[in-house]
Order: sequence, then C-alpha cells, then structure tokens
Amino acid sequence: MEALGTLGFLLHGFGQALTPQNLLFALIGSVLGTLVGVLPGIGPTSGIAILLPLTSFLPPAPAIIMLAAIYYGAMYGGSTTAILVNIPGEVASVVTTLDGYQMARQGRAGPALAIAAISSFVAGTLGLIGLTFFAPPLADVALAIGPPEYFGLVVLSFSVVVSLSGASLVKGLSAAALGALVALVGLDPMSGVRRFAFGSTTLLGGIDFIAVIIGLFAITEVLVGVETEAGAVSLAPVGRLMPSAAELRACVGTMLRATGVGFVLGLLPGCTPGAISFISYDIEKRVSKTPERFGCGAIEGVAAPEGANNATTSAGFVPLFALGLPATPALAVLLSGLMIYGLQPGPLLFEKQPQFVWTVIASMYVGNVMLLILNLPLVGLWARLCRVPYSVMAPMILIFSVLGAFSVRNSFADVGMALAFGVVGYLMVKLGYPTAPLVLALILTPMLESALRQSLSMAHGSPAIFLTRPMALVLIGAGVALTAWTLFSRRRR
Amino acid sequence: MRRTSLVCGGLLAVLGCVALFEALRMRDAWTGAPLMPALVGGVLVLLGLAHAREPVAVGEWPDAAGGRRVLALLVLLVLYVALLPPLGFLLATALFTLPLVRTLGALSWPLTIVTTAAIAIASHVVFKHWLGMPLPSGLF
Repeated sequence: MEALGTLGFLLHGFGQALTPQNLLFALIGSVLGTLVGVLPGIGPTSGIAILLPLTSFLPPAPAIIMLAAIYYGAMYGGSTTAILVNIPGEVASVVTTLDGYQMARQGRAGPALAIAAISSFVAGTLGLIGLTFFAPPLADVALAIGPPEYFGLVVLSFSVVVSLSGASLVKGLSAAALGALVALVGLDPMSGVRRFAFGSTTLLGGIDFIAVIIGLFAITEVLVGVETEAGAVSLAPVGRLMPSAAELRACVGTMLRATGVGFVLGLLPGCTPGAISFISYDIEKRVSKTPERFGCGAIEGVAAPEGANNATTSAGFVPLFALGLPATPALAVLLSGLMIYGLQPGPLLFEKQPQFVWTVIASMYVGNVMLLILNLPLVGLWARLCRVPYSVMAPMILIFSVLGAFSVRNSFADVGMALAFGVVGYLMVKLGYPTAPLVLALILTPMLESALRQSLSMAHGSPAIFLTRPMALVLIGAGVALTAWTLFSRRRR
Repeated sequence: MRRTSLVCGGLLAVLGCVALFEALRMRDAWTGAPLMPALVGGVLVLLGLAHAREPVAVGEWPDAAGGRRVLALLVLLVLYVALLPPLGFLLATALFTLPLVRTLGALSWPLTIVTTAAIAIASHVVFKHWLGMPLPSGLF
C-alpha cells in the first residue's frame, strides 16, 4: 500500500517535472553540472554555491531542480577529463583515471567515455529508485523523533569529519572547530544574545554561509590555479564511441555491484563519492578473474567508480530529504538553498511539501536521461571545453563569485567576507588543512546547538536525558562507533 | 617548518581563548547561550595544543613568480570590490578582467581587449538584464 502511494506521488511529481519550465531548468542544471564536472578548476560545491544566490528570482522547485542537477551532473562530467587528459574533473573521478586514461592511450577513449556515461546512468537511476522507496519510510520513522534523537543524528553526521580529515586528524578537526566557531558568530537564535559580534553590525548579522563557501572553494581554487602558468592541454582522440557487446556484457555485473556498494555506503554519513569510488574499484578488482588487467585499461575499472559515485550521489538525497542532514559539502550547500526558500528539509518535508519534494525527485530521473544524451553523443564537445584557456575561465569564476556573494543579501560586506575566506582557504590548502570539514561543521553546528539546547531544556538542564532515550543513545553510540572505526582504519593504513 | 605548525596551533589556541572569554562574558545571559562557545573554545584550545606534536606536512608553496601572481590577483580582487560601487559593474568588471586576461593568457593586446569586452558585456547582460540583479550602476 505504502509503495503504491509512493508511486502515485512520484507520477504526480513527473507531471510537474515535465512542465516546460521545470524541464528547462533540469536541462540548464545538467549542462552546468557537466560543465562543472569537466572543468578541473571548479567543483560542484563551488558551482552550486555561486549559482544558488543567482536563482533567487525562481520559484523553489525549478531552482532546486537546477542545483540538484548540477550536483549529480558533475559526476557525469568528471570522467571526461579523467579519461582524455588524465586530469580528474572531480575528486570522485580520480580512480577513473587509472583505467580510463590507459584505455585512451590504447586508442579506446570512445568506449571508456561511453561506459562511464552508461554506468553513471544505470547506477544513478537505480539509486533514484532506492531514493524513491527508501526516503519516505525513513521520514515516517524520523517523524517520531524528538530533539535528543535529532542531536544523536547530528552527532552521527559529525563523524563524517574524521573521514574527510585527509592526512592529519588534528588538522581536520581544527578545520571543523573553525567552522563551528564561524557558525556561532551573530545573534544567538534562541535567546537573541550577541555572540562574537565585537560591536560590529556586520558580524551581528552572522557570517553568511554562501559567502564562506564561495571564498573557500571558488576563490581559493583560482588563487591556487594562477600559481602556475597553465600549459596547453593535449587531448586523446575519442575514436569509435560505443563499447562492443562483449565489453557491455562484462560491465553489467560491475554496474550492479557498483550501484549496490555506492547506494548502501552512500546512506552512511562519512562516505563521500570520492571514497566510495575507490572502494567500488577495489571490490571489482577482487571479484575479477583477471585482476592484473586493472590499471592497464580494464573497462570494468571505469564502469565501477563512475557507477558508484552516481549511486552515492542519489543515496545522499535520502538523509538530506528525510532527515535534513547533508552527507557532503555540496549537499550542505543544497541544504542551505532549501532553507533560503523557507523549506525545512527533514521528516516534515514529505508531509508538508509533497508536491515540491516529488517534483524534485522525478526531475532527477529526467535529468539522468538528459545527462546520458548530453554525455554520449556530445562527449567530444565537452572534451574540447577543457581547452577553454584559463585566462578566460579565471576572471569568469571570480566575477561569478563576487556577484554570488553580493546577491545573497545585496551586501558588499558579504563580498569582503568571501574574499577573506578565499585567503583563509588558500592558506589552509597550503598548510595542509582540509576545507571540507569546515563547511560541514558550519552547517551542522547550528543544528547541533539547537537540538542540544532543546534537549537540555526538556530535562531542566540535565544531560542524563541522552541516557534515558534509547534511540538517542543508539544514534550517539553509532556516531562514536563510526568515528572509532574510521580512526582504527586510518591507523591501520 | 616546525615553527609553522606552532604558529598555526598558537593561532587556534588564541581563537579558542577568545571563544572561552566570550562564553564567560555571556555567563549571566540567557541559559544555554554560552554553552556552544565554551565547548568550541575548549576544543580549539586543545587542538591548538595538539599542534605541538603534529608532524608538519605542508603543501607546496608557489615559487617567487607564482607567489607574485597570487598576490597580484588578491590586490586586483580587493580593488575590484572597492571600485564596484563608484564605477559600476560594467566598467569595474572590464578593468578587473583586462589585466587577468593579459597576464594569464599571454594574448596580443587586440585579442585581450576583445576577450575582456566580451566577458564584461556578456556578464552585464546576463546578470543585470536577464537575472535582474540589482548591480551597482555607478557611471553607467
């Protein structure tokens, strides 16, 4: 019965997603996403952050349709430069270079690009089916939870920070603590007390999340980019596009396994598309009868990571829509986009805004078809885009960044903040501090704070409330266990 | 190298102390307001201290020419933002783009000017006329 109801909602969502305006913005999002994926100078997080404020003239559904399409579209585009130039457009496509570039060197760039697009489509779409049937029951369960359980969920999400920490745990945690500090600046939302304002009216209004992201990602990327004089990019020829029937057959199992791994792990906090594409590649190598081909141009080595990162992307929308929790920095930006429109993601979203949420989910199915069409016949066109000279790209990214930061509140103070965080981001990169934990802490800290304080006031200030609520205890325990497991596996490495 | 790590740790510890003082200042305020500042402050101080034992792995700093380019870009960005309100979007954007295209692209002057004009006019049309953004108009 429940499934039938879901199908009814989804069909209604398709009715909305297929209106000309929504189709147009799904297409714009897919094109921009592929572009963001192809261009190594800009990632999905900064792409969404720059464009988010510029979508304010749109109603919520087309705006979020477009921003979501940028996110999953980037996973398609990331493979193009990974295969043709050995430069991954996105972190999630790093593994694709291993076999993809080898295939290109052997004159098989076409089949590599095609299997990347096909695998992305299959896994992305299967992942969406998972999202369709998994998110509503999860939201139903989540409806029953109170502030202490929500606190547990946010603690679980915070465990992501450890796996995003890179080489040094201390540096990753420091970045997260810095993000938490930035989040606290301004009026305390619950009591109106001034915090960290130091008499400045600008700081009193809080530090805008979008300005921080634009600074940390877009401006930092350009600052690092201008360090070296970019040389001309040489492209491998694409050649025949479609893989042979035998190659396709070899990849069917790979795509299904990649979908399973990508989707299931993608539901867990801490598993980013980048990490999961590595895991999926590793599994494929282990189950292969000829593991020695991996790294030398095995087509399964392209299908596995590209499928996994798309399944993970679809899975990331499950906790975002059902619980209001972002699994990756790009989803954190999308979450803040939903909030700008006054939509509170979380269990109530499915109940209060069913039309909106199902329109967005249905548009993702449509968007995946658009991306397949955009990326299969037109792949040569995208490949040529990495020849756009940096002297044209850099000023454009910066102009977009300045305007993006300005348009959130029509304030030059926000632009100044974006520049300041551009410098902070540059120094963080140079000193080996990861920026992703800062972003996650920035969006999670206000959630953590309100859940913590509401829980404490429920119990008249006693923290024992977390021990008396079994589900909260389980969630906090899961967060601690996940952190411990990640720490343990880090140490083993 | 070790000094860099100590400086970073020191900075974090100072930020942590600021947060702790801020929490202390708010202690009489509404219940709960100082809780997170105190918590984050404490964690920052501890992480700052942990830097003393941190093996330093520093990213590659640019060479002198690269460093100059980064600095020049920063100066250019600050000037751009400062000149946006008085000069308006179109002119300020053109003045910002010109040196970037010239230095990053090593193009001839005519090609530089055409590229700059194309970027400035295209972004003006898209943002001001299509998206209807309230851009500073300045002289134009």
